[in-house]
Amino acid sequence: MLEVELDIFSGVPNPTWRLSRSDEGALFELLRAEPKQISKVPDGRLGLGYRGLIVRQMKTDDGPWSKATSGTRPRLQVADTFRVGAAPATKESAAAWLLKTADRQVRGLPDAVREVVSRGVVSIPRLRGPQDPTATIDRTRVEKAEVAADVPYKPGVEEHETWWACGSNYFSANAAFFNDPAHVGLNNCYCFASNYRPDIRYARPGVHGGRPAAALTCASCIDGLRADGWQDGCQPNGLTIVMVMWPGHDYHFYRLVTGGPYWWWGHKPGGTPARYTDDCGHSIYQYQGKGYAPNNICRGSYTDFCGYFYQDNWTAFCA
Amino acid sequence: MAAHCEVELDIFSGMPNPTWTLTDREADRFTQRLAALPPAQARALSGNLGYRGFIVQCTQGTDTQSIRIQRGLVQISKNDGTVYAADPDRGLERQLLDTGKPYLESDIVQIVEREVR
Repeated sequence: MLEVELDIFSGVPNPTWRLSRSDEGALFELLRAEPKQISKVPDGRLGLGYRGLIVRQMKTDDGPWSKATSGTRPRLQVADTFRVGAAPATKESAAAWLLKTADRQVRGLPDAVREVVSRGVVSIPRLRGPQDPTATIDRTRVEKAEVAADVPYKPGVEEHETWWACGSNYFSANAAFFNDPAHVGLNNCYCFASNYRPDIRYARPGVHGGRPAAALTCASCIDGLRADGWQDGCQPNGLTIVMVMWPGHDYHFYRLVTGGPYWWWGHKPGGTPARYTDDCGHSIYQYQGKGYAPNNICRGSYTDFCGYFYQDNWTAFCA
Repeated sequence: MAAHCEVELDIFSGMPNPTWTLTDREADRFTQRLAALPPAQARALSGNLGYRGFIVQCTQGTDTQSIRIQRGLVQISKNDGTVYAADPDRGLERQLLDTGKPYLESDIVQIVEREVR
């Protein structure tokens, strides 16, 4: 006897239903044709939302499933409880077929549930490799994404893109300082970039310098940065930051928090914790020009890359 | 006594998030819907760039609760602790988005609508 559970909810019980004998037989044939559709039930890669279907053998009986999967020579090796739908099907999808059986057994699924299912299985991007500058890096496993010019003064590189060659930077991988629970919600991306924790929730380029950015564009916010003392070229013993823009809506910053050989960057999305990873599971470091930096990480809606900026200070005032 | 609720759409990194106040009727509907949610296991909220859900501060008499809603998970913090609830069909987020439409730019509404479908 097989029970099917649509694995979709986080708090409330998932919809479940039993398969008829003929459905058991049909499911067996689908999975025997492509067993790699079967995956394990606890799966830490799956996120909120649709996670496939869990099939359980509630008891052995004389139905087609029990006959085919038990005994000394089962026609399909499968655990009593397994998942379908998380591993892709190249032939006929057992998950899609099981969803049709729900219509006969469960008075139909609500439209909202169907819509979520139609978007496919939700996977959390796996954080690959080290996640902060204290971790050990396997240099043979740095991702091959192109970060920037891989040698200083490479022809064609714009003059201000020399953060790796400044030779005199101030580095502080101090996300933990900004993530103190008493302060994490009180400082935004610009304050983290400035290495300053004034506990004013919304720091804006130019406010401290008396020329607040008038528009949410690179040009206007760069003007604000200059009013706050940020420069276009290397500064001695200084902070190095990147500004990106969600045009018309918002700005975001990254700060260079370590030097070579790995050049880690950190950032703080709004009132959320500062970190050294992007939203795609990339750790923001590079080795010899390969890996990730603000110019090639996942930035969502922050599509405009405004540039690199420097200030001769260990702490720049964001307010 | 009607609840007084301030809503913040948690979406930006540098700029202030949009905020607005619920009407008495909207606040009542929100608190009723909140109270009817089933419990959920505690889970960390995401700090991604872009849409991160809603933050609602509700005061009713001397009681204050701070509610964070993100992708069907509801975190409710009061003086006596924090509990979690589930809103799998995202109805609470859609309800809050509706209350915010008069105050939000249309492209922000579209972005959030896509997130909470």
